[in-house]
Amino acid sequence: MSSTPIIGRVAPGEQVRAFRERKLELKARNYPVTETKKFIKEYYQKIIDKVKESVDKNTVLGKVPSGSGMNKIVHLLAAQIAKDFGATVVPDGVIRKRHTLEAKHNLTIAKRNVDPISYRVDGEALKAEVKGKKVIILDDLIGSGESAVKLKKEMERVGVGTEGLLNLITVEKRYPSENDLKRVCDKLMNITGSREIERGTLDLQLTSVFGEYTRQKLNRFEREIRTPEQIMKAKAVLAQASAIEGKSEKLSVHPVKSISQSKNLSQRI
Amino acid sequence: MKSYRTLADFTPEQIERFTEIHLQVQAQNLALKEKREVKRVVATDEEMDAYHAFREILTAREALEGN
Repeated sequence: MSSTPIIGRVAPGEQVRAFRERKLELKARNYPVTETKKFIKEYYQKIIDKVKESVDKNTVLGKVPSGSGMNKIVHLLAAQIAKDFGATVVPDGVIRKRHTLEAKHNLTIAKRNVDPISYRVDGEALKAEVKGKKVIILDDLIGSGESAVKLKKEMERVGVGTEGLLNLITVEKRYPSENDLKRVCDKLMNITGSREIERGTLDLQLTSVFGEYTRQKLNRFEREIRTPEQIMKAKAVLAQASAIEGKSEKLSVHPVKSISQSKNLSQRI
Repeated sequence: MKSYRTLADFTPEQIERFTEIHLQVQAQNLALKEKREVKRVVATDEEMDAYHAFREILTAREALEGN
């Protein structure tokens, strides 16, 4: 995420909430085109200079598929940017939402809450479209960034790199303070009651692993640590995250017993 | 993976089926929002994949043609 620049306006939570509310109003009326265009224009004007710096005729825009299968904002925005700056747009149907059993079958609320966002990309068609041009992922709003990051990874998996995430509005990240990290550290220490982890080492790990998490993400992580199983998963996530960050030399928590055991939690945080 | 580019890539039977799935998905999303249990959408992976492609193509067309 950090290596992919965000092209758009970063705004505080309340402004993003206002955007969401207006979007929901439009959605409730199946996105009437004239009003949706007006809505887009209002926000597009605020980012147009940034778009101008990043988008040209050698740009291909990859639209994030709509979760509800109804969102017209991204389509209209892509068309506007293509018209203004000569970019091309990945044809519809090349990138689509992936149906997973977890997502759509036989679910309870609890299961649905861990449903991973997932996409399917027609690699050959996408590569044929890109042909050496730079690819920018386009969405209307970046909240947690999960959708954009998942799509970016899926595109990378089929061999297409991306150079930016373009959106009308991005929620301002609030990073955890030292106190937030200390609180998580205390919770882990209290719950595990473990002497296997030295306090100083755990502090260091938490900072190295969670230092770039948003507060929201850290809070979600913290809320999950309750049962022994979750503690084990939390440790596995620490280990996994440390390894990913290339900081495994700082690792002293239990080794990951099973990747699948940590998978669900790592997908959620 | 199967390639879908235009609405002509789908049969009338498929489109009828997607309308049914779409209603189920919408009901499901509403249930989630209201924190009710989710009713099962009974469809194969292939059907759901085609459904998602269809929705993307249809929504883009509706947006760009001003519907």
